[in-house]
Amino acid sequence: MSLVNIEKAIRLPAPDVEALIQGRTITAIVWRMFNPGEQYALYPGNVSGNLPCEQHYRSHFLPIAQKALDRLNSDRVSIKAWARCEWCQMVNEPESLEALSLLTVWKTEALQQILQQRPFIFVAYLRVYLLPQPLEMPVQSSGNFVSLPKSLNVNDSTPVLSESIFAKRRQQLEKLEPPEHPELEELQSALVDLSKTNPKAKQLDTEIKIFLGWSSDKPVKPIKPDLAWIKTIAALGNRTKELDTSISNYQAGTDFENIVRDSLEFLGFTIDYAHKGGAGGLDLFCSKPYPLVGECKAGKKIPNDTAVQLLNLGTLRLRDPALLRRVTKLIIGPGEPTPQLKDAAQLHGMAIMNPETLEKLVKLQSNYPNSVDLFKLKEYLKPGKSDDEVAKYIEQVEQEIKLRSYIVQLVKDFLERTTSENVEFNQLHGAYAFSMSPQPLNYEAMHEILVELSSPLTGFLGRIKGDDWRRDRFYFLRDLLLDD
Amino acid sequence: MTTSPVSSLEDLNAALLSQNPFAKPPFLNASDVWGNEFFDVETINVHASDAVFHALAQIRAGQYPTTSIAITAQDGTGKTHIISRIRHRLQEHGGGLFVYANKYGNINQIKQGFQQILAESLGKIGRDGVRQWQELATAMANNALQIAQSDARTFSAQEFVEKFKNGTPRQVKRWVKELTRAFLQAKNVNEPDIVKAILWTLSEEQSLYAIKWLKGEEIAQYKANELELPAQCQSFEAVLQVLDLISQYNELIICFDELDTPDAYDDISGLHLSQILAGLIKDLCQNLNRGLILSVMMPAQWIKIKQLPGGVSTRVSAHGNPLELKYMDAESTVNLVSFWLDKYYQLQNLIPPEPIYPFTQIQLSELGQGRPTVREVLKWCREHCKPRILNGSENNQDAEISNPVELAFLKELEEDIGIYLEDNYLLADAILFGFQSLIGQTVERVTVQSATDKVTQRGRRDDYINFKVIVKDNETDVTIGVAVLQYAGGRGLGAGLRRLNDYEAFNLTRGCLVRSKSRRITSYLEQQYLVPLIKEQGGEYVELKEEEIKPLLAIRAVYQKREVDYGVSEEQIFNFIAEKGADKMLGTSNPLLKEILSDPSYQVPTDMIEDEPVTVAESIMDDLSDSAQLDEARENLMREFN
Repeated sequence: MSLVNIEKAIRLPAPDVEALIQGRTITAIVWRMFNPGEQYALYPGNVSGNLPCEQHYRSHFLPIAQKALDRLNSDRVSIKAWARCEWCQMVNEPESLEALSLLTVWKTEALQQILQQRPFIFVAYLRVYLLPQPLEMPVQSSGNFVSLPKSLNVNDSTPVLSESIFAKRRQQLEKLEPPEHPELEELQSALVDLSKTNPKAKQLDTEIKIFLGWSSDKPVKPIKPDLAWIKTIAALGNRTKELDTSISNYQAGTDFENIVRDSLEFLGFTIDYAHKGGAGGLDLFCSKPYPLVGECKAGKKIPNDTAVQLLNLGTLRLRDPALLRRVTKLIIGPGEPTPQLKDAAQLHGMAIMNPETLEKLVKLQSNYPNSVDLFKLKEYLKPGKSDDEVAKYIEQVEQEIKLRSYIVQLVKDFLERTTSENVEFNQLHGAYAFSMSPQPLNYEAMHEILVELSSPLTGFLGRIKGDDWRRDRFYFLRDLLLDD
Repeated sequence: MTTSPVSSLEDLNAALLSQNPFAKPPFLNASDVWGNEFFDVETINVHASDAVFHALAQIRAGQYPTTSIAITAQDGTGKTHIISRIRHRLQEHGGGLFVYANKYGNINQIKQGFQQILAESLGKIGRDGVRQWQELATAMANNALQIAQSDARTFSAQEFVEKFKNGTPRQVKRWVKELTRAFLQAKNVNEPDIVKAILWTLSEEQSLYAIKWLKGEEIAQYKANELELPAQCQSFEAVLQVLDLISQYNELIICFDELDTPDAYDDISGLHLSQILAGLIKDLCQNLNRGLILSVMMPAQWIKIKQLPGGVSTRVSAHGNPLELKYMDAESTVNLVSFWLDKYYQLQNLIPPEPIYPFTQIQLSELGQGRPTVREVLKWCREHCKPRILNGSENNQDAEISNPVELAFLKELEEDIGIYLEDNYLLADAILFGFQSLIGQTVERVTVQSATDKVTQRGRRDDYINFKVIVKDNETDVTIGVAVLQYAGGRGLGAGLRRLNDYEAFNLTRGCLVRSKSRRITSYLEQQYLVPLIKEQGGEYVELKEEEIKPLLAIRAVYQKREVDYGVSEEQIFNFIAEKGADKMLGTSNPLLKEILSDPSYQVPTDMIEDEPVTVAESIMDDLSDSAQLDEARENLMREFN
C-alpha cells in the first residue's frame, strides 16, 4: 500500500465518473496526453460538447448517465474517488472507434465527433480508488483541472477493481477485443432500477457484475488505517539523504530507529527505553521475553564498524560481557553488509536483517494476530545475514495458516454441498484425503487442528463432542480469509 | 606553490577548504554546450557518442545520406553531456555544422520556433573561429566565384570577413548582389532571398540583422531596404532551403534536448512537446539531404513518441531502439573523480599524494557499486570533498549553498539570455510565472487574484496579448492585459499595439506594453496607438530591462526542469521565491512585476521614438538583367576578389 497525496481533480462528465466508480469502464477521454502515474481526484461535471446525452452514451448506459447528470447540483459537488492513470492510448483511426465504443460507455458517433474536432482521442486507462468519505466542495465552473480545497491524503487500499481484473480489462482495450458478453451488459443495465427494491435482482446484479469483471469477486478488505505504518518500514529503511532531500541523514536514521522499535514492540518484545538510542546510545534494547540488543542502519551500506559499535555499546550498557555473549544480537538495515562486517557478525553471533524482512514479520503478525512466536523466531536469527532463515520461518507460519484456512473452507463447502448442519470427523477426514489438500495429514494431526480451530478463542468452527474423538462433529462459523 | 614532488597535506587541505573542487553545480545547459570550457571523461558513455560519430563518418563516406539516433536515459546520466561532447569535438576537428535545440517557445508553432533555433545555432562560432553562418556563406561564395570563373582561387572565411569589413557599404552591397546572382545561375534555389541573407552574414556590420532575418523575425523597413530583402521571411520553406544549402557543402547535426518538460502540451492537439518535436524531426529527416538528427530524452517520452501513428518513432530513431546511457560503476566513478580532481589540482599548482585525494579508493568503489548517475556522484563529491582530517567531523563550510532551488537558480542565471530577448512568448511566460507565484499576495497596494495565459478573442487564442493578470484594487477587479512586443518591425508591433487598445474585445481594464527601451517605435505607431493607450485608455508602457527579466527567466527554467533535472518540488520553488525573493529580485521584489501592477503614470516615453532613415536612394537599383551587362558584372566581381 502506498500513501498518495492528491491536490487536483480532473473534470470528467458526471456519467463517466459514475461508470468508472461502478467499475463499468476503466477509461476516460482526456484532453491531452496523460502520463502513467499521474493521479487525480475525479470531479463530476457536465457533459461537454453539444451532443445530447442520448447521442453521447450507449443506450444501455443511458439511464445511469441521466441519473448521474440529474444528481449534479448547482453549487456543491461531491467527489467520491481518485484515480491513477495507468496508460494513455491515442486513437485516431476512424475504423477503431466502433470497437472502442463496445468496450466503453460512449457511442461511436460521439467518438467520431471528437475526431472531427481534434487529431487524436486520448483514452486514459484509470485505476480508480474510492475515497474513505466523499469530499464536498463548491462547484468550479471551468478548467480541465480543478484545485481541491485541501489536499487529500489517501492510500490505494480500496481499488474499485482488483489488479488482475484491471489487467484483463486493459488488455481488452489495448487490443480492442470485442466484449465477451454484450448481452449480459444489457441485462445488468436492466437490473439497475429493479435491484433497488428487489433483493433477488440485486444478487443477480452483483453476480453479473462480478462475472463481467466490473467488480472484484471478493469484497475489498480495507486496511485498518492505524496499521498503515507497517507498510512504510522498508521504505524508511531505504530512505537516505540522497533520495529524499527534504530530510537530513540524521533524521532518516532516527525515523528508521523509531519504526524498528515500534515493529519489535508490535511483535511482542518489551523495549527498555532507558537505553534509547541517539549518539552513544544503543539503538535497541529489549528485555522481554528474552534480552535482545540491536543496531539500526538506514541507507545504502551497512558499514564495517557496525558490529564493533554494537559490541561496545552493548558492553557499556549491560556492563557484563558474559551476558552480552548470551543475548540475541540484531543488526537491521537495508544495505549490503561489507565483507568485514559479515565476518564480524558471524564471529559475534549477530544476525543481520533487512527492513523488508522485518516488514514481512510485522505484516504477518498484523494479518494473523499473535501468529509470530518469538521463541521460534529466535531459532531462525542465525549469525550473519538471516533474511533467508527468517523468510523460512515466515513461510512456515504461512503454510500453517494456509492449511487451517483450507480446512475451514473444506468444512464450509462440505456442509453446503450436502446441505447438512454439521459433519462427523470421520467423514471430514475422508473428504480431506480426497481433496486437493496442500499437504497430507494423518487422523490425529487433522483432529488436533480442528479442535484448535473450534476453540472459543479462534472461533472459525464449532465442535459437538462425540463419545469417541473420532465421532466429534464440526460445523462452520466464519471464514479464515487469507491475505493475498 | 610547492617545489617538492608531492604537495604538503597542509597546502592541499587549505586549498580544499577554500575552494571545493566540485563547487560547479552538476547540471549542463546550453551555455555549457556552446561554451569553451568542457570537462569530459571521454570513456563515460563512449558507446553513445561513438554511435553518433560513427554514423557521421558513414554519412561522410557516402554510405547513406541521413540518419537519426535517439538516446533515452534517466535524469543526471549525461544526456546533455553527450551533446556537449559532440559539439566540442566538432568544433575542434570539424565534421559538420551543429544545431542545438533546447528551448522551443510557443509549441503551437514549433516550425517557426525551429527556424529561430536553426538561425540562432548557426550564428554561434563554429570551427574556423567564425560564425557557422559565415562558414556556410564562405562555401557558397567560393562556389559562386568558381561559377563565374572556374579557376578562381578559394578564399577562407577569415579572408572574406576581412574583405567585407574593408569594403565600402556600396561595394559590399554590390558583392552580395553579384555573388547571389552568380550562385543562383548555377544552383536550383527556391528561395533566392535566403541565399542573399546568408551572404550578408559575411559582413560583420550587417550579419546580426541578416541572422535576425534568417530567424524569421521582422526587421525594420529601412534595414530591409538596405539589405534588399523583404522585411520578414518566416516559413518552414526557409528552413528547408537552408538545410538544402548546407547539404551541398557539409554535414549537419541537429540535437534536440529538453524534451522532458512536464506540462508542455499543445492545447489544440493535446500532444506533449516530445511528440510535437517527433513530428518535426520526421519532417526534417524527410528534407535533410546530408546529416544526422540526435534526440535525447527520458524513457517516458520515448513511450509517448512510440504511440504516434505513421511510423514517426522510426524516423526519430532510425537505428532501431534508442541507445541507453549507462549508470556509473566502481571504475568509472574513480575515473570521473580523478579526472575532475586532476584539473583542479593542476589549476591550483598542487600535486596530491594520490589522484583522488581526499577520497579513498574504497570510498569511491563503494559509491560506484550503488550504480549512481554521474550527477549523483558529483553531488556526493561536492558534499564530501573535505580534507581527510575533517571528514566525519563537523562541517565548517557553512558558507556553501545547500538549498537545491538556489543551486538550480544560480545555474540558470549563468545562461546568456541575449537570444531570448527576441522571444516574446518566452519572455511573457517568465513574467506570467512570476505573477503566478504572487497569487494571493499584495504588491503595490493591489492583491493578485489570478494570472492566466488563456486570452481569447471569439474563442481563439490571441498571439499578441500574452496573458492577463487580475488584481483587486480597493474591492474592484482590475484586469491587466500584458503584451510583450519586442518586434523590431512595424507589422508585429502594430498588430500587438492595436489589440492592447481594444479593451472591449479582450475584456481588459488596462493594457500594458512591455518592450525594451532600446527598441525604437516609429512616430506613426506612437501617434496611432501608444499615445491613445497611455493618455486616453489609462494603459501603460513598462520598460523591459535585461537585469529584471533575467531572474524571472531563470526561476521559470528551474520550475520547468524541476522534476527532470533539479529534483525540487513546486513547493520548494515557491518557498524559495518567498524567502529569497528580496535578494534575488524575485516575487514581490521584482521591479518589472511591480511596475506592471503599479498605477499607470500616463507618461508617454519620449526617448524611444525614432523614424527610419530615408531610404529612397537605396531602393532604386540598377537593372543588370541584360546578359552583356551580366558578363561585365562578373568581370567586376572577379576583379574585386583577385
